[in-house]
Amino acid sequence: MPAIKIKAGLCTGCRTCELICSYRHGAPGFNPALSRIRIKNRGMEKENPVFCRQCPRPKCMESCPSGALTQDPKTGVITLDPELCNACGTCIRMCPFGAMAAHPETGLPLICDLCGGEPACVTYCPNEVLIYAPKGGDPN
Amino acid sequence: MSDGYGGTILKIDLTAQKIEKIPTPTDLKNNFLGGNGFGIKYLYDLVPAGIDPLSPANALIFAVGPATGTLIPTASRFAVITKSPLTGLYMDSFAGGHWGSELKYAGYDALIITGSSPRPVYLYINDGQVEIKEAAHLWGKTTYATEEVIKKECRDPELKVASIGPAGENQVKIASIIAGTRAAARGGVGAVMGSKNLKAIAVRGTKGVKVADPEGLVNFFREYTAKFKANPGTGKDRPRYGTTGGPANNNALGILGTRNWQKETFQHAPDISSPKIIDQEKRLIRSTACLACSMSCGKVLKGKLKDQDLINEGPDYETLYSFGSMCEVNSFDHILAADRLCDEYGLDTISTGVTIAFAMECFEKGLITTADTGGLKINFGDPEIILTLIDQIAHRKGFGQILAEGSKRASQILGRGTEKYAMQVKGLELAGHSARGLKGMALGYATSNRGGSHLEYRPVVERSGKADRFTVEGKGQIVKDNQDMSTIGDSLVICRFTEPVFGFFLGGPYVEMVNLTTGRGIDLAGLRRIAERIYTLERLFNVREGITRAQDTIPERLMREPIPDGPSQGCLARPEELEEMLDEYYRARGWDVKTGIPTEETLNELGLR
Repeated sequence: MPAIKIKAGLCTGCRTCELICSYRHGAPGFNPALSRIRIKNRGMEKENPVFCRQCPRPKCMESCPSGALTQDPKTGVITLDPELCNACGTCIRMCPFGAMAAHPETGLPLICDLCGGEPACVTYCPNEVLIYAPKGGDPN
Repeated sequence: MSDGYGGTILKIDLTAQKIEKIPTPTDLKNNFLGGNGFGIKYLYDLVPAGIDPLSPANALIFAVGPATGTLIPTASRFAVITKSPLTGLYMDSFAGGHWGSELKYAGYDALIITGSSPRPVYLYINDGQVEIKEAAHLWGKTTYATEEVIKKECRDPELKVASIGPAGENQVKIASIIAGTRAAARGGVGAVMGSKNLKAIAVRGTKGVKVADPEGLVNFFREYTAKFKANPGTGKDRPRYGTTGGPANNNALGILGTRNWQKETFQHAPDISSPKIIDQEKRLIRSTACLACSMSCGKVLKGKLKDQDLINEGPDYETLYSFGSMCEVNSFDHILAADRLCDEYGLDTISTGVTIAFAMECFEKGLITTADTGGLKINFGDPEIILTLIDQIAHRKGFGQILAEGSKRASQILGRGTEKYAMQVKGLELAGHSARGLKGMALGYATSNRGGSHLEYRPVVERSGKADRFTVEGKGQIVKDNQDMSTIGDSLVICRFTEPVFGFFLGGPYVEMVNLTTGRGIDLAGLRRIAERIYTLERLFNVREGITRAQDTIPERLMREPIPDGPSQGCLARPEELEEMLDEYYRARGWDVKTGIPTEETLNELGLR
């Protein structure tokens, strides 16, 4: 299955991906705090973009005490059932990539859904730094 | 409200340690748009004429606009507005990076800081939570170190921090404010922050920004990003070189300020310029960008000095001019080191370099000697002396005590005819754009409310050939119209580098940006009125401080000494030419031609009475 990849060394930190992700996922405008992809700046020498890798054995899902997370066996996408989630934050702490964040108001985890197969972050990245390609291989 | 605004103005009285939040007034939004518009409105109302800019009576304002934090390319900048200790007049200075958008995401349109704290403090803003925190342990630290400590002690690596370094603390009149790796540098805004005992402002916001037409903005982003990429300047040159191609490019036209503007050609320009430094010497580590911007003009560059590895974001064109051609320094590594020092100490690289170039010429002419400089020989072409002087200026040590006042005041302190070598307008050191080789630039400098700034009238109008650079005809109107564009850009707030695509003059894209964000349905005439209102109120602030037509001028040298050699040899901005352009300019502005003061009729028309 395809996945989002990034040529991290070329990321300029323009955060377009965060803006479009938040908007496409229902923000009433633009809000990086609601984005499922995050560009964390780590000084002038690099950006540290973090996003869901659709792990084969997702730590987030395995650690969830209330069974609120499920994985689509075909796409690898993790889905949250907000009815079951008690916003304990375990999944966020357990993700080895730091790719999940809590919704600032509800505390529910924000997880990448690959926009149903056409990730907006990839489409809108102004420098073609984000790509959507089959798993494996190094984009750099 | 879905109008692009954060909705709240944050007022902080540092004397009383009082924090107050007020809803952003509707008439403020309608009449002054944002950014420098909000800034001048508050500054004019809060700061009476004649006060000492470094006293608690001054206000320090940080402002963003309706575009801030949205998908409009470059809209993460912020404005700093205050009464300048360098010029004694209105000042707005801007920085890119991501501090401005963070302020908006925390829900604020402006911070109005008044008074002065009895001890060093910093501000911590986390959405609605606002705290004045102790900063005694940060005092004396560089800007980069300050940011690191604050992120650590607030346990938030995603905080955006704007801070001053030792220069701001020591109230050096050319001190900057550094946000991340970007600088709001001009006019001594950092000194005002230092005078308030305010070391830093750390911001974190999670509220985002709501706009009138988000889908429209997504389309706007797509359409204009394609245009930015298709334009050779914004699509190729900026992403590849940032502004580092500037020295070579301006040198090729013979309009590169050199040797304190004694000349406008510099034989070593290509050595401190791209393509050499990026393509041949491979100094580029990576490029950085402001929000949603494809131009990525920020260039993180590397070098080596005395076996020491160097790195900094920058130097950009202005810094290559001020420390490079102006001081006739041909070592890129030294300029990189100077740039890094200025950023860490919190100094304006333009004013620092131009003030050092002033000292070099005074030394060359024998107007100052080692008796004045504490034994230092300050010669053009000496790359080491610029590093020594930067350190002295930031710490007000030795001869730096005098240069810390900026070139105009330094020349007044020194006397002996040094005044004519201070390359400044209204006290602000000239940016790297020729007033002799670009006729309109002479008028642009003379009428900039900031003083010697290249960001109100833009040199690119003539450099690009949009207007004939050798003639004065029509320049009054052109300069005014271009300033209208800058004023709106500074209120939205967006970057001037968008101008090749959004336009050098107000037009469709600017109207569209206002309407997509605010939903107010403004037309071009309405937008122009806002620009005129803001610029005229800035002028009124200056008039209140004693500015009239008499001060709307440029350094003698640029009116009396023709460019001595090179492709623009013989070019000059003659006094009578400047006067002719000024006449036309004041008429275009509706300001009195004799005095340069806005007329009652104009004030009534603009709702400023």
